[in-house]
Amino acid sequence: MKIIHCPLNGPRPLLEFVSAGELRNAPDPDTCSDIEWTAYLFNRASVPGVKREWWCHTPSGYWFIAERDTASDEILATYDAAELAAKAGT
Amino acid sequence: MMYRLPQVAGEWIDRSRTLSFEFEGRPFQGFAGDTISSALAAAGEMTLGRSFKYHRPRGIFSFANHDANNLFQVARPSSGWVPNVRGDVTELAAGMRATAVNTIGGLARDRGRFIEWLAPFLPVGFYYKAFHGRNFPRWEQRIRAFSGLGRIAADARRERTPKRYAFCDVLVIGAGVSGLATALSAADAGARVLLVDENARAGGCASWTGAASGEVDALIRRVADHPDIELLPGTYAAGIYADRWVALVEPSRMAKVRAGAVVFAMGVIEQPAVFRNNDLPGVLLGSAAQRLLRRYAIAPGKRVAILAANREGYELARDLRAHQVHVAAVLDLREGAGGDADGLGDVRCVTGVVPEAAIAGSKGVVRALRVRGATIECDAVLMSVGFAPAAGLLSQAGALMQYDKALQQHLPVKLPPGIFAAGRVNGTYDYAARCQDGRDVGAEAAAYARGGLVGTRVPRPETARQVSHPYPVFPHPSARDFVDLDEDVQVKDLLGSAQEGFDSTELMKRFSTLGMGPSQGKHSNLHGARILMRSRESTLADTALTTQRPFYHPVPLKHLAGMGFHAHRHSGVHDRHVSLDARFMTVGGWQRPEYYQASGQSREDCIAAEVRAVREHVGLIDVSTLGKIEIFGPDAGAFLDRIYTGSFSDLRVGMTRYGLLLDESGIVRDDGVIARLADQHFYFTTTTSGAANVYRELLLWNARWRMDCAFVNATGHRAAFNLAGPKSRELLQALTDIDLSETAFPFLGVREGGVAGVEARVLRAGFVSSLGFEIHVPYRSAGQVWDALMKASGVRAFGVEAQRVLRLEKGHAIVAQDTDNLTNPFEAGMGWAVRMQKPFFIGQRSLRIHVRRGARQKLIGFELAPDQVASGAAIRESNLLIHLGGIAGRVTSVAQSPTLGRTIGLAMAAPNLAAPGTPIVIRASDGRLVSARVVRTPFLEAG
Amino acid sequence: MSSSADAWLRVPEARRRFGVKGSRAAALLEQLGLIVPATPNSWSPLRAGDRDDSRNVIGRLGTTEFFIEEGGDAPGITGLEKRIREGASGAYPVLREDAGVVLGGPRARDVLAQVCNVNLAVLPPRAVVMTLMIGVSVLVMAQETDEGRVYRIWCDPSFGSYLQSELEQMVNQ
Repeated sequence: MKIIHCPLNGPRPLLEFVSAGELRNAPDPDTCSDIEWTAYLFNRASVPGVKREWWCHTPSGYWFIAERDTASDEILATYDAAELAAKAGT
Repeated sequence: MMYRLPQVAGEWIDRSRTLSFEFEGRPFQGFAGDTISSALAAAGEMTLGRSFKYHRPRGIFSFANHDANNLFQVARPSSGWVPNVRGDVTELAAGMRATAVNTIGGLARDRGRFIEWLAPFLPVGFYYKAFHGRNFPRWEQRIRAFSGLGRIAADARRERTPKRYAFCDVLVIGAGVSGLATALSAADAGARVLLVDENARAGGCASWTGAASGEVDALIRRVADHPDIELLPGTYAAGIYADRWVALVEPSRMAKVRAGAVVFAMGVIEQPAVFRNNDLPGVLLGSAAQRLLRRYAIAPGKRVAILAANREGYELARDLRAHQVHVAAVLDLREGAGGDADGLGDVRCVTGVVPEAAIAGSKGVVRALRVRGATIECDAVLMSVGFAPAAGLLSQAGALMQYDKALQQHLPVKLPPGIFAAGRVNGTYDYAARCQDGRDVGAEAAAYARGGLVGTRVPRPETARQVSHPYPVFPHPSARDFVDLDEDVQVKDLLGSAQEGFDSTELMKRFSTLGMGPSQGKHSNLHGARILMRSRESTLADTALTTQRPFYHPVPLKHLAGMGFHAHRHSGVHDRHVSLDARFMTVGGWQRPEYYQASGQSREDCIAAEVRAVREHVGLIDVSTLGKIEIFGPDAGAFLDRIYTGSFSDLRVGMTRYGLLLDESGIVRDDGVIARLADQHFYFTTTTSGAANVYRELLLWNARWRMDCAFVNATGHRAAFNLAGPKSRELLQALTDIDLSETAFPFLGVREGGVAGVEARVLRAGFVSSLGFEIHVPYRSAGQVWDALMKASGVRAFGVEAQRVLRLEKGHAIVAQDTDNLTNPFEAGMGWAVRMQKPFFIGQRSLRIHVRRGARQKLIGFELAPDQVASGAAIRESNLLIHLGGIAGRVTSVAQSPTLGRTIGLAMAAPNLAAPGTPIVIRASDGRLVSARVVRTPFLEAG
Repeated sequence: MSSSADAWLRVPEARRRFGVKGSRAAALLEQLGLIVPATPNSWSPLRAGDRDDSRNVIGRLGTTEFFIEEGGDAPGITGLEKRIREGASGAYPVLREDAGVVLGGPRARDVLAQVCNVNLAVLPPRAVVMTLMIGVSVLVMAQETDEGRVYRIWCDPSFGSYLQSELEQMVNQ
């Protein structure tokens, strides 16, 4: 079974993880339209490509980010969510 | 007819130990070390089974674990019947009783054999076309009675089979020459090596061709002595999965291996020649004859004809002669070959042979082979015409295989990282080349496993000699020229499939069933593709073979089932429930008492008595399964404000508030009670089944928001009990120093203090009764507190079922029972828990939309009249509400209330039916229509 | 205690367990004179000068959470609880009622190989592992003792009877 490199716990089999899907930023609930809001709720980007996803290592309860190529299922990088802010800055 | 020879050097049998067994009710004997098939062959028993479709007599064919026609139903003295035992590889045991499968009335007098006369009516794919209409079920039963392999013993004992995880740097699959060389090379480079082989001993084909056997034995010894190599004989790789995760099937169990690198050295699978009656007992592969000869000292016949198209066929002839077996002729399919015929003396060697048919003698065994221009009398026909790579697992691993015209074999041309191939599967055939290939690959695999990056290797096939005939297929106008012996697929079946439009390998497979039998096309896929390509006048180089999937060989279900672990949870007072004779149910992985069995009473009476105890006196329920979460920190209150629908930053220390959790689309997901223990410390509950998910969700939200708070999941670490009923306060006060009076401890309050000598958190609960206390203590102290509470007079333990009735009487909804994936809080009567004016909470934006749309359904309470006893008992959850001939909702909870003496329940109903007093109609499970009335909840105010 | 000649399983008595988490947890532990393991997912004997096979250990779970097991009066734990109650903000108490077992013997790793997908036999000396065993989240560490290599395994107490009984069956096989 697939191995994921948890930034905190090292390489572990897929069985120890749960995914919450792609990182998405919600539109501002106070200013967006109903259409924009429901699109955020129910639509997902299905085009294959490298996606940033939330993954949780369940025995330790640690959430982190994985960059995964959804076409090849290859995980290119995993890192702590704190680095998101740094990456956003670049 | 086959027969046993005198001692053969290196034989696997122990002639000093004779084993008696039965086949088809007749007694036989074999030696220790024999397999079932070899012992039968030694006794001259040539017919070992009946084919799947036509019930033709069949014997040994490959002797390499793909003899699907030599499957037996086997019983040992100590255990019951086991179906589909592979006769060619299963070792004989004393007292075994074996019968052929797929026969009606025994092997010899199989009544199914007459089906061959119906062959003209059974063309390929006939079952797709016939049997339409009402009669199909009856035909289906007949077909099932005729086909199918083996019978399951319905009374077989459950066996728990351990599995194990294993780890290695380099996994080498196949312990033939190249596998052995690979393992030694990798281990010498510092890798820990696991070497597996499906045969009982290492050595591969060298062990039964006799070629270079001395050197192979030396390799085996070096492997055995090497501290970094573990050899697992009798073990096959059933499948390979992501990141070099391999399922190994050992004789008694399954091992799941994580390898740093995997080397496939599985060699090749000998392929048959296709001609009329190539399936007769006595017609077998050359490698089968050699295994029989060298391992079990069995000669294939007294007059042997060899169909050859490579040097291996001549080596086979020389080997047989060296063991005093008479070779009648070597018949070479190739034109003008014959340079390999040295040392064959007076054996007749002919080239340019075109086989026409094998001819059956008495008992259906071969007695002659007719070729164009001659008929050769023989009682065995050995085929040595070519090979296909054993590349099923390589393909699963993601290797790209391409047909090499020089070698007439698919070769791996592109391998994923960490995957390697060595030996004949890699296109190297001769001994020295295979050793070198193994040495090179072993070093590369070790380097990869230990972290070095290497490029993917390109194979170096030798092009010197032809090993496989490009088209050893000789169709006959009267057919019976079998391509697939598992499924009785003939050449005309494949041509027919293509003609009907099923003209790709994948479609042809499914229409003709080629390759769908127990050997999964190991001896038929390549020929099938060749036949298809020739009929379409294209080339194999452009064709993909059918996709290979796990498992490589059939795996016993008990290996997969393993130990059957079912993780379950017990509360800290589980043993108390057991001693109170609780009947348990499983909720969210926990064992919970459903009710406590009072002797001589029915389940309903026990539950009703527990309900009455709580209403009249006091009851105690173990609610340890509730999720329990703590939040600490300066932002704790603000965090809860954002997560739940209510306000918690303004909750006073020492008070609790109902917490309703929605998802982003405004749907009710979970609920609980949130207590503020200190300015920066909240402690709250969730539903039992939602505990783990809610905790994970909180962590995820905070990974996004990064607020200053810390979370603790105390669910399993704290026990909790609910002491409920009018006498609860009095009882509890005797056990605690906390002031429980109404003024000191109002409804919805929370206090910390000692209960029965244990540090506890006590919440005023109202879920099942107006007066009740939820007591939370550390897990290990649970027993002490439970015992103290139960010692008080009149306390009765009550379980989940009684709790359901009690909370229903109080009109409380249960999330995910009375709500579903479409229920927003306003529909469920929980709007009071929603503070829309907060700046933000999860689901708020969606609720604005829900509010504007209006409710699509409403959770209502209903009741039946007291005299509607039978009707009330007939109503179940999910029974529909019927209005004007259509569905107007469904029942979500229902119970006979002992307190109120009538049936009460909750239902999701259309909004126009929601007004109290409205008559509604419920359709019970037995179809009857029951009248009920909508009423306000709670059904019971006081108590 | 369950054992065969090849492996044994013990349930240690008289051990207290406690956890502390938060941004100031490490500082608080230092103030109390306890050792703070330097790297995430590592453990150490509880006090300077304790032996490597000490029964009193402290583990760092991730970056800001600590787990302590102490025998007898558990003075370290009592002191920690007291300080937290006195209002050390940024350091929060974690109730730990874990079920704990100790697994040892020459074939302990074969027992582990039946339940755990992490190669515990090659754990670095001071590693703490959070993983799954037969469906249960566990905390595992290994110590070299006079009895050889032993594995200390902790899990949520509600799973304790299940995990313990399955391990016992394997040990006794």
